[in-house]
Amino acid sequence: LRWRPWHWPVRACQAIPIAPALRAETFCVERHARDSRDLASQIADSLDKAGLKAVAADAGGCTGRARYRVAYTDNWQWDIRMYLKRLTLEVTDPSTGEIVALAESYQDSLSALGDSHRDIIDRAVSKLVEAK
Amino acid sequence: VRLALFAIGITCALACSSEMYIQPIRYPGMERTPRPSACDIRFLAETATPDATCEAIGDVFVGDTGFSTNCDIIRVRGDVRRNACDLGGDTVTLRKVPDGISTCSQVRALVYRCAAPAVR
Repeated sequence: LRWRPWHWPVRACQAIPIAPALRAETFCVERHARDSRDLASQIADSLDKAGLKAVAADAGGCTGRARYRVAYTDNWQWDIRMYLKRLTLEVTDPSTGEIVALAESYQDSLSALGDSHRDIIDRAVSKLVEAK
Repeated sequence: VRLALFAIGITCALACSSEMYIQPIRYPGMERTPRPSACDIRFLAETATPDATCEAIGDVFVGDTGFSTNCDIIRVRGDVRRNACDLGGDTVTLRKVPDGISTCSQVRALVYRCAAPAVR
């Protein structure tokens, strides 16, 4: 758990993947109010490319549109340029509120060099849909 | 040189002393029989409201003091689950605690004990 110099640079991507039985369902990525980069559409597009049926909607717009809701949190940091430091995707069942899958991608400034935020989204999504 | 060594020393002391910490709190009067530490816990989204049969029995904070590693959300969920089981809970709502500096996922989890499966 303790920091060691050889741990840096840090990049990690972990997930509890979407269960295979749920992959035929529909997913709706709900845009949060402070998303000025339209990450919701990019996450939906990435999910779509990964073989899931996904759409993006504004906050509150997912109701009735899909079986599962995908929420995300994005933490950005400035280090010469803005980079996406942490992206968390959370798939919930709106009827119960239960989290059925999640993924988190974390990278420090050095690790994120050369990566666009779309690369980081794709990395998190690929973990989310990978076979258990 | 002395100043540089001092700065390196301070940095190492701060960085090497960093670690995760877990703070479970049992609410007064909410003593429940602990469940096995590998028990099943239902994780609900932050915005979900457990049903009326659920009562909050405590909370668990998982954070870190600096540059800890190996503290991703999956591991943090595992720590929350273990502590929720110890508190006797069966349902948890997770709230992420934003931290611009920490490398760790930090969460505060509300722990519930429900009479029936927790639904919205």
